[in-house]
Amino acid sequence: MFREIKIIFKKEAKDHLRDRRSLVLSMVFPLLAPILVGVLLFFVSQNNLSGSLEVSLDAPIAGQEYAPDLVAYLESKNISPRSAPQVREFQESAVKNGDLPFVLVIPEEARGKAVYTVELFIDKSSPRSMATAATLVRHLTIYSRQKGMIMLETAGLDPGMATPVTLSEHNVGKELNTAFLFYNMIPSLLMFMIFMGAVYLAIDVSVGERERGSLETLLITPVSRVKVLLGKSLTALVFTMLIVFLNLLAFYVSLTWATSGSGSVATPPPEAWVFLLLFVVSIPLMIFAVSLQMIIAFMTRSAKEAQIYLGLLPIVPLIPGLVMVFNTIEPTPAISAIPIYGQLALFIDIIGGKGIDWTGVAFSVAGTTSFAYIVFYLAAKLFEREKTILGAH
Amino acid sequence: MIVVKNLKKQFGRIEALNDLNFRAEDGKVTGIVGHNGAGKTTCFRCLSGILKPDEGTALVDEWDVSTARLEVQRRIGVLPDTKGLYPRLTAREHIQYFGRLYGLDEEEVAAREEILITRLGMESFADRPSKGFSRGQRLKVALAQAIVHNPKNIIFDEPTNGLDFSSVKAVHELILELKELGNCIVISSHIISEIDKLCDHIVIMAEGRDILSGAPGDLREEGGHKDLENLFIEATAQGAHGLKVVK
Repeated sequence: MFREIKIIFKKEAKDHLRDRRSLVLSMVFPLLAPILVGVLLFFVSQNNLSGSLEVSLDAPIAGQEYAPDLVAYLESKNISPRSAPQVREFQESAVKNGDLPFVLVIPEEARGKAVYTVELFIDKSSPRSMATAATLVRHLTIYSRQKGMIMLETAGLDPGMATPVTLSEHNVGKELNTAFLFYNMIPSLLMFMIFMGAVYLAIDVSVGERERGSLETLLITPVSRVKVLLGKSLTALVFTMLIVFLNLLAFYVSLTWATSGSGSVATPPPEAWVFLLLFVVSIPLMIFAVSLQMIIAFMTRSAKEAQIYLGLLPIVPLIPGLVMVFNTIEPTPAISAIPIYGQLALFIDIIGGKGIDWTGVAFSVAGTTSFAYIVFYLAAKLFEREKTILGAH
Repeated sequence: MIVVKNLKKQFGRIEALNDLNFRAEDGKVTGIVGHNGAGKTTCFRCLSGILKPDEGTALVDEWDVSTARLEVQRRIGVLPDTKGLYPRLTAREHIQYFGRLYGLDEEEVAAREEILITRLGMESFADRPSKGFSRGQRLKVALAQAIVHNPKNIIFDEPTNGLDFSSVKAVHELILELKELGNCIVISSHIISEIDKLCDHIVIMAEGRDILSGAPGDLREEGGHKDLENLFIEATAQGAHGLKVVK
């Protein structure tokens, strides 16, 4: 039963492994997104683009001598005051040109005063300017409130009057920080890899073989068409699995590196076993994707046409994936059973640290496996057609 | 033995085969001749299980290709019209791959591989990837993979098309050798002299049917011509216009 499938699989795998250029490209391809995301996260976490209170900062401050209490407070919070231009025109241009991320100006009128206004020059079109200034603004707000409370107390009033309404927030989830925005990209990038990873192999073993004229010779052998299709699909599936595994491994390594030493600014990525779980849950979807690739490839007239259609295929899961980065769907069992959507909803929850909904995982595996079977059945039916084997008459 | 009875195959509005009949005996070479588009390749594709006939029967050793495709495919070796190879596999790997697919075990594959490489003179390129092979080299690989399982029934579609003189000679020798071994051989060709030289029985096709068939000598005698080429031209012209069909 499996002998012929094994023969075809071994031949296709050997054939593809000898295509060095395609092989190297297909192995480099899954590393690109993890490297890019890792580098971006590293940059964000090292440059405090999140505006966290817990980072050290160099702050260009003009007029430091006019409010020594404020400056001392900032220093106590790891904000190191640096010299800044004294002339307004230069203060503006230094920020505008990107020489300084921002400039805090303490006016001379502040000298010896309890109530005064400080000015902040920022560039709202620059993420670096906005994020670093955000840290300073948060410290200034806290300083101002504390100062107000002391002043009220000194005046014999209730210090609580400084902030009549106090908001007490209780986060029941994980502490959200910049890193999670990046981690939420993984599911949709993973979808892209599942649908795109071994697409060139799928084209080569299907419409490519027909174009070379060897498919007819192969189908003259006493091997049922469904076994031929299984042997070919299995090759595409194994290479897809290899590429997806490489992709997840690269994500784990790259994100661990990017967040190491960033403190609480960027939470480390999920542990290795979470990535392994993502891989296992993805397997039925890979079967679904390969079957779909086979159908599309055999329906086209040439390898070139197949490349165009299959190149567009990953856009389908990518669109909901990108939307779900910002709008999560609650993974009910019914949604979990739907290919692509189910995995995306589950993956976002798993990556986001909400824990693993094993019922959802079971529904996802069962649902997508059923869909994959239907799609493969359709591919097998298509493969029985004379037009599929010989192309257009 | 191959028997074709009232075979019909239509592609849309085109009747590729229209009531084709012929019989190819064991130990004989049967030649199918006809102009381009006469239906030769469609007939071979029906016999090899690639196409399913709309009507009629195609029997190989009494197995009907429509109902027992895999049984038929075990009993035939086909050199198809396309003759495509895998550019990254060597000639030897092609033979091994098809040997395994035809159900041979590893010992049988190794034995047949050596016999065919020697018999077809493939020693110099047996371990080279097929990318860049000459037409003659490609044909030898395609021939080897077609007969790797030692089939009783052999179909060669245009086996010498585009080959040089020495390759043509080698193919002719192989066909005659297979005939001597008692195989049923069916070939198609555009070259009448080749058909005349190799075949014991000729079937002339036009518009998807057999319009004339018989031994080369009988056909010449019946047609009153000494030259088989002229007989072919006249028969196909008459057959095509429905003026006169000699059978």
